[in-house]
Amino acid sequence: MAVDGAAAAAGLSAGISLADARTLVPDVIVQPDNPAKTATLLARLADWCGRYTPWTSVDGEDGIWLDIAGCAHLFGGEAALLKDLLTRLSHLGFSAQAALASTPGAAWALARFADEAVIVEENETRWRIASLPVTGLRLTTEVVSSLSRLGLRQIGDLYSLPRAPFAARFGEETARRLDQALGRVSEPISPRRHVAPFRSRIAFVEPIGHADDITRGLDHLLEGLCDQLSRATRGGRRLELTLFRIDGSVQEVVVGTARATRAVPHLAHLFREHLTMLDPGFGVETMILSAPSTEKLEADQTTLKGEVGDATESMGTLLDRLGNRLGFGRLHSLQPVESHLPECTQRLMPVSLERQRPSPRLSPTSGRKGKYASLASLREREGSCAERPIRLLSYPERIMPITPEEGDGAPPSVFRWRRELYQLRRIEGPERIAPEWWRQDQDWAGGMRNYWRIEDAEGRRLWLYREGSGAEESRWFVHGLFA
Amino acid sequence: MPIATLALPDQTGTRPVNRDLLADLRRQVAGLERTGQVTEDTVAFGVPEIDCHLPDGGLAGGAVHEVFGRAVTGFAASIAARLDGPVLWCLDASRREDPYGPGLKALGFNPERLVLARCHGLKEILWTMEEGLRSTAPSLVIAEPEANIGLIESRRLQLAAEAGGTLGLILRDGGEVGRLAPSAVASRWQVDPTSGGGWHLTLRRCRGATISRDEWKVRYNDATGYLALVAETGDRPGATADGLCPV
Repeated sequence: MAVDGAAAAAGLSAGISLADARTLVPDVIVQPDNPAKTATLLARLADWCGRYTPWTSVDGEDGIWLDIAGCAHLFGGEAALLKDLLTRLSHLGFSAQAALASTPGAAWALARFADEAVIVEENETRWRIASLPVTGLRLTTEVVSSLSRLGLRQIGDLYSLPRAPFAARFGEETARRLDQALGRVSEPISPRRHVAPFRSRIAFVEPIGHADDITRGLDHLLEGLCDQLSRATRGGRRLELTLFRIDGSVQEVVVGTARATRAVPHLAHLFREHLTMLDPGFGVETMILSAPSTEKLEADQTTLKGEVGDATESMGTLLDRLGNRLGFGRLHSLQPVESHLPECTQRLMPVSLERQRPSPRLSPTSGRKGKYASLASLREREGSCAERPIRLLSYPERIMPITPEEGDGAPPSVFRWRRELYQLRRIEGPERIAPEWWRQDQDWAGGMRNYWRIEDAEGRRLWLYREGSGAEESRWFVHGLFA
Repeated sequence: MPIATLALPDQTGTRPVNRDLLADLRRQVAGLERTGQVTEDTVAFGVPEIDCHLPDGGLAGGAVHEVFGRAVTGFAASIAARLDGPVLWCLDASRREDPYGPGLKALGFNPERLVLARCHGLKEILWTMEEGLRSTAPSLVIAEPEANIGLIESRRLQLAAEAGGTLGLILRDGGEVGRLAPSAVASRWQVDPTSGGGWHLTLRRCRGATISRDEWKVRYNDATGYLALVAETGDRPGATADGLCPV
């Protein structure tokens, strides 16, 4: 329950019952509390505060933490930052109180119980919070009431008490809150979002709204960010562009890359498509570009045209463009796997997960050599790969036999599959494939399979198999296509 | 309108045809016909009987070709085998048959060069194909749309292929071959399986070809990695190269 400024002036206060409120002010406007909505609003406000620092966090139901270490100079000092924050918040229609202190606990108390927005240096924390009520220590109401029964109403009253009996009497939590406020123990607070180590920020004196201006701003940010990345010999895998609009809303654009990169034109290209979809509203006043996900990337060699690595590099850029539109989960490469089960001999590997594979020639270790040798021998053992289809069905599809199965386990000579009739003309088989005993594969629950290559009267070639062996009813499936 | 000017030799008539001159003329005309660059990298089939009919001596690079029929995958894989570099294959996400590595390998196409892009719907397939063609990175872009591609779309793809110098193949698996809409693709093929593991290759249309239509029976030659013509008499029952036996 909360009251606004006008209600407070009329004599209402939080905690008063509705009947009393109606008696005092008959035309009081009552709005039911909506905690979910408030929380969403507070979270959005915390994002908005990202314009000051990447490190923001929602505190309970009515507060936001900002860690402005190293950020204040961007706004002309701590006092200017605090003033800017409060001014903008009041323009947005919020009534807010703020305080800046060296510990979260002290800032919490000062923001709520100091008369004005204050900035408290580290060495004056102790006496500045001494006169504040003990509620400022984020204590439970039981503790606060038992403290006040003992006459301990101000934080300063607790300073002289010996810590051990105090902790025993009022709980370890209470003692710790005091320590936290005074900076005797540290108080870690997780930021709302992962704080990207690589960040670049640009603020505009006049809000910008034109798409060209935003593109130019982005280019500027990209240059700054890629410079940082290059100094750290890293490349971005995911980049976030945050636009702070003048009306207080925040817009975000995220692009991903298949391989680490710090090429400005390439990244600018990836952003370009998204920028057209952005709505700058009445104007954008701050743009922040950050790279939350980066990878080691050695020194650039991409600027030289016609290099050997040039072609692969630009395949990466193509994949990035496709991935940002289609989603990286839909781009796959085929990787061979050692297995004799048809569906296990290849794996679809998302291109974004694919690391640069060591090529067999470049791997000096004997262990690797052995592995490749065994792969090669496996291929030889398979004999000609011509016995494998060119397309494999993701799930084998059952056929409908028209004629009964031949006596020697050969496939039915006439069957129907996908609404088409197949009349067998030539066959080859069976090739017996048994499930690997160490696999618990549901698809292979039917046991051994007998594979046949068949060709029908029209020249269509399929890879069929018969599930199970012997007595039980035979079931035939199509598993692959040869054409 | 640019005009191709050419200095003709003084004595005409009895002189034998100057081959260089003809080639030069052809190039000029080709330059006028196509808006983009004319690429020299043609993918020859390696079968003289087919290649000699095609204006560029094979499948023109930097162009889009359309392939219909029931053996389009094998045909595309054998083309991919002739090229180096990455291959982008745009599939509809609803397709239940993925290209299968071991089978592709048998046609000489190393599946590790392949990147599969799963697209939702025709629009995404066309977009992906266009991006791939416009980029110089892939050597071949294969698309398998679920519907026929119209004139405007094919024109756009053809321009993208010319801009990037990339070869494009549009596969219409089992697509209707009878009446086809006009299209800007460089050539249209129909590939159907024949008995004995080969393909029945029909050239339906080809821009600038000396013939309008012809048919061949070919099969993939494991030893050379090229296609080879199959003798018409090879269709006898009995032992065939693919090891299948008559029922």
